[in-house]
Amino acid sequence: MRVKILGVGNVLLGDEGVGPRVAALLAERGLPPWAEAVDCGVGGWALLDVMRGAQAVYLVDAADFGGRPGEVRRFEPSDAVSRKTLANLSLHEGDLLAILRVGREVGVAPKVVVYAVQVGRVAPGVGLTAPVERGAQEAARCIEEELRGLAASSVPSPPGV
Amino acid sequence: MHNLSVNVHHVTRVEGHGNIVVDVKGGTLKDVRLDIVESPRFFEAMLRGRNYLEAPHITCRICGICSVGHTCSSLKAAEAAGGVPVSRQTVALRKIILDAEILQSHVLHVYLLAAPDFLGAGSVFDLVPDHKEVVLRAMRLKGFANDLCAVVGGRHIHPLSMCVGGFTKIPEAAELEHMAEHAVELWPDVEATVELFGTLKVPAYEREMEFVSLKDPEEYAFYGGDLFSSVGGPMPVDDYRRRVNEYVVPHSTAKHTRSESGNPYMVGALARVNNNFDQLVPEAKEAAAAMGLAVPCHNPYMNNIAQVVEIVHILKRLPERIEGLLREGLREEVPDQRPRRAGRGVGATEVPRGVLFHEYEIEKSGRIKAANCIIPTGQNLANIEADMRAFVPRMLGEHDQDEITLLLEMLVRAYDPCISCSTHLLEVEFV
Repeated sequence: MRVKILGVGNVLLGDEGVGPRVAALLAERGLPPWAEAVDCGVGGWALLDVMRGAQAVYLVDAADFGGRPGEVRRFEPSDAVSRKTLANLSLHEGDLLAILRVGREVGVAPKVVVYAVQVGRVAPGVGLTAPVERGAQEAARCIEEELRGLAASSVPSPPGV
Repeated sequence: MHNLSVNVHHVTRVEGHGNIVVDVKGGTLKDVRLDIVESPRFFEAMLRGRNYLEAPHITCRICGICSVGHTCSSLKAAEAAGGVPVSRQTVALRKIILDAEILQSHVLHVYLLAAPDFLGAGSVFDLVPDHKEVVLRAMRLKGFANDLCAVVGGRHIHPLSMCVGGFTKIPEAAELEHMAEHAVELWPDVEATVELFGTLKVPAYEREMEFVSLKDPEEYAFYGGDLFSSVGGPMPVDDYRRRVNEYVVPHSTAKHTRSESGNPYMVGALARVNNNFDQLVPEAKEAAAAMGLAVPCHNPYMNNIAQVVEIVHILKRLPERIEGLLREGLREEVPDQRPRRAGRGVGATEVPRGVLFHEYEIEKSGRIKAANCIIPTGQNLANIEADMRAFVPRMLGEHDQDEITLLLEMLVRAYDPCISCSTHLLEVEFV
């Protein structure tokens, strides 16, 4: 397995669950044998263990970047800065970009591309709002397109390896 | 020092914050608070009306760190409510995956959250340049624990195969065997961990306190046992509401708890080590001595050291646990998930930060009528504030404002409260 798609977020909080939804969409539609979609839920540091061994990682997460709900942004970690202010009092506060940075420094260093989907409603409840569901579909299509591109450029090993 | 104002302020946009507020005027302590917005207990309402089989899969999403712990408490509550039996093999596998989760969390906590204070780094992100080998060791130990979660639970984060009545998929014997061998190989990392934490100078603040944990006559308790208090003694887990008395405080949306003694109490590694020290493996007892932990220990800063003691205990015992299971032979089992009755059930499990309760009331059909969940952080909040009330007046004479602020942050970090673990939103700006 060389490429992993990590869907991150809390499915109990409405649009926060868009990452796992994208992972589920990709798994349902079928992926090449060298790619795997993983529902990573509210994982933090454990994401680095899921990434181990992958050459390329697509990380799909709910985000607030001031866009319209459902808007999809593709970026590389170096293209964004976190606005999170953590008191560093608890392991439970997560800053994904910071975790990726430590990962790179300790050798867990696949190429990471982030797909961020702008949330609308983050509140208790299972299920996405309609615009964010459309965003999930769009993100899944974009990632499938990227995987086709990867296969064509033969960056990953051929199927079966 | 006559006046002191500490305000460690933390804001996240969505919900949840942990503010330490200390106010001293004219040499008198006016205010001490740890403001924490506990993750709203919306999942209790979310469970009502659902089938009890869904409960573990919903509640495991509450927390990315204690996902297996929530799953275990949820399964035990559901099975107790519906009268569903489970096999010895199921219990053995649950104990292994729970060990793995506690190990993972403790490694992250002591290395990534606590160690930077002692090594003079602001956070783990500042630790990498000068102490890379320490971070790499943490990653090896954490990686092992997380891989073991994946082997037993079918997924690294949020176990997939654990269900009411057993497991939907039994792990491969060869994979478990491999993990047992890997655990043995990690022993030098365990020794290096004890050595490192033995050199760290832990703040020496003590306050006589009550410790609550599970206690099992068979073994050092994580998965099961009675509810034990260092003051009140043992009590059946079913009666937990007599011991875990919740009350509302004005400054916090999170409820606080006090025991039947009327006092706040501590849950977590230090409570467990204090209550169950005799049942630790010899290597863990030796590690405790080497790191200066003697029971009873009433210094909450030593919770970090107690976590290292449990790391030693878990990694020493894991290979034997796994080999024991494999010797009996892994069997394919089909979980029988039918509820036998309508009823109420309590599930209590020791998770990294202390004892976690789930309680469900179900109908004969398996439909959930009511749910209650009490997390370790809720139980520790009153105790943390009691620590601050006791320690701040002493600190005033010994430290300046910056040192006191750091000491209070370290105190809260020692407990590692669950702050807003239910949301995960990326908040970014593009550059």
